[in-house]
Amino acid sequence: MSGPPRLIAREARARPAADGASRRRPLLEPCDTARSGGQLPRLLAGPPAHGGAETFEQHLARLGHLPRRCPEDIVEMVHQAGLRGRGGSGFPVGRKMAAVADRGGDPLVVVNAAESEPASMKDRLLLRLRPQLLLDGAAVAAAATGAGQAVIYLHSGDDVLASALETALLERTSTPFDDPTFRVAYGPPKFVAGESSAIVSFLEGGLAKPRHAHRSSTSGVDGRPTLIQNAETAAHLALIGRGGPDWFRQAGTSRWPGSVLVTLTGAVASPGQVLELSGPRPTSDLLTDAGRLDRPPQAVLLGGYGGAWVEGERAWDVPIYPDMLADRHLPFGCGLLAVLPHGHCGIAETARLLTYLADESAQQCGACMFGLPRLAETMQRLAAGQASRAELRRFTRRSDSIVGRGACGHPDGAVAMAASALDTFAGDVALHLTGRPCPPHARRGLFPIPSHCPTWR
Amino acid sequence: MTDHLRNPSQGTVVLDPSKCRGHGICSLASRGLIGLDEWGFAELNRLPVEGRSMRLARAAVLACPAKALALELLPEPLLIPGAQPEPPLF
Repeated sequence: MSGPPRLIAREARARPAADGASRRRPLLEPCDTARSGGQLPRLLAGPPAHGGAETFEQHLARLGHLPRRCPEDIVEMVHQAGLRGRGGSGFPVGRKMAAVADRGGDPLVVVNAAESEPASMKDRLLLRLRPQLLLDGAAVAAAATGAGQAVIYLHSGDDVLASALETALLERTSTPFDDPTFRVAYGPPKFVAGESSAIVSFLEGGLAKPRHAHRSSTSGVDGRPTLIQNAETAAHLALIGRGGPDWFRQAGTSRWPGSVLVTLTGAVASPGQVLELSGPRPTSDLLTDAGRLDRPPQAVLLGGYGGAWVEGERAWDVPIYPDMLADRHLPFGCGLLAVLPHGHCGIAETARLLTYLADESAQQCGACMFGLPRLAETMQRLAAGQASRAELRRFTRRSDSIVGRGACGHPDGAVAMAASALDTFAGDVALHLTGRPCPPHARRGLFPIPSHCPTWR
Repeated sequence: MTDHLRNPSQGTVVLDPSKCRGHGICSLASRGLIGLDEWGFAELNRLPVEGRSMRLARAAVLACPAKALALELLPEPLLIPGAQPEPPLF
């Protein structure tokens, strides 16, 4: 057994003002209530980050109790709010809630706090600093669906998160809003173990591996209708439960209401920094303001390790918000912006990420378990200046034959990321095909890769 | 067992890729209707079949040792006057 995964990236934290001229806001600034209209912060409001987790007492003093409502009202409210899932797929939460509630039986709520994207820090940050917001969200989801139980699911191995959550559960005294029975489940720290059908499999006592064509809302854990929501989604539910849909819609866009969390990593001032956005902001804005860049970087990886590379100049003007990115056929995913500086080999970085993704395959589907390692191998050879044109053509053919052939989206994400790398770093590809690799210092790893966990339980 | 009565002429072969172990028997049984990838795994997501290939598709589904294949049948238009259409199988 290996130890807990070590993340190279530092966790987001408040940075003190470096100089008087450019007054930097700390990550979490005090905010009296969440009812501040379209103003930020929302999710990140409350005591500053260095204070650690907000206690239940502080949480109630700041936000008050959740008002009691009947299930139909809650579902209607979430519909009206237009909340979409924050785990990457963006499914309308109200519809999912209604599907679970209508199914009847003995529903179950799961809050997915297993943030599998190694560089994404938003769910970790929420769990560490605002665990009560998460638990409130689980309570709202349980009330909406009539679930008596709520499971908080996270990766094992992160003691800080585990203790924040367990302390939060102990602090939670009776509220006028009936809490469900909470249970904490620690899945293996594997990339695909945070996928919703993998969670269902794990909670049924099986391995945390994805299943094919699985719909948890109708038949989830042990056949029970199961509502699985991302941690950030739960936190939004806690605020919608208090502020209501009209307040919620004051942030975000009409197609994507509410604020969103994004993580900056790579060549930025403080890798792992989490930002809350109340509407689209150009990449340039985020990277100059929070990231402290003064010009476009070489490239930005958007959406996560299964996302898409975008050339720096092009990414610079792209407005960051899920709907705006979707318009440009770019992924928002988990809200990751991973910055690759000039003088760094994008192909070498892609080879690292692809190797990691191949290692994280659940070894279930042939195309994923055999295909991804072959792709990673070719990418490594390309970075080393050893690949031929014929190999690159085979790479493209293989990529095409892998897409859509996994039980989950894991291979598709890896293939899409690799394909975007070949486009974005076309100059480097041409150079490497002539047998010239980048110098060693340009090939060192930049983005965080967790250590490999061998077990699936 | 009502399949022969329904005599469906259209369907879709559906693969659960997590069950496929790459035996390759489906390809033999269906005379290549179901193709294999370079590692010997069934290379399809959903394969619509009709007419003559229905028989081959059926053979492939029955032959799969991993039970990774299924044949989804489309609901048939009414053949018998006055009869109620059956709901789809899936």
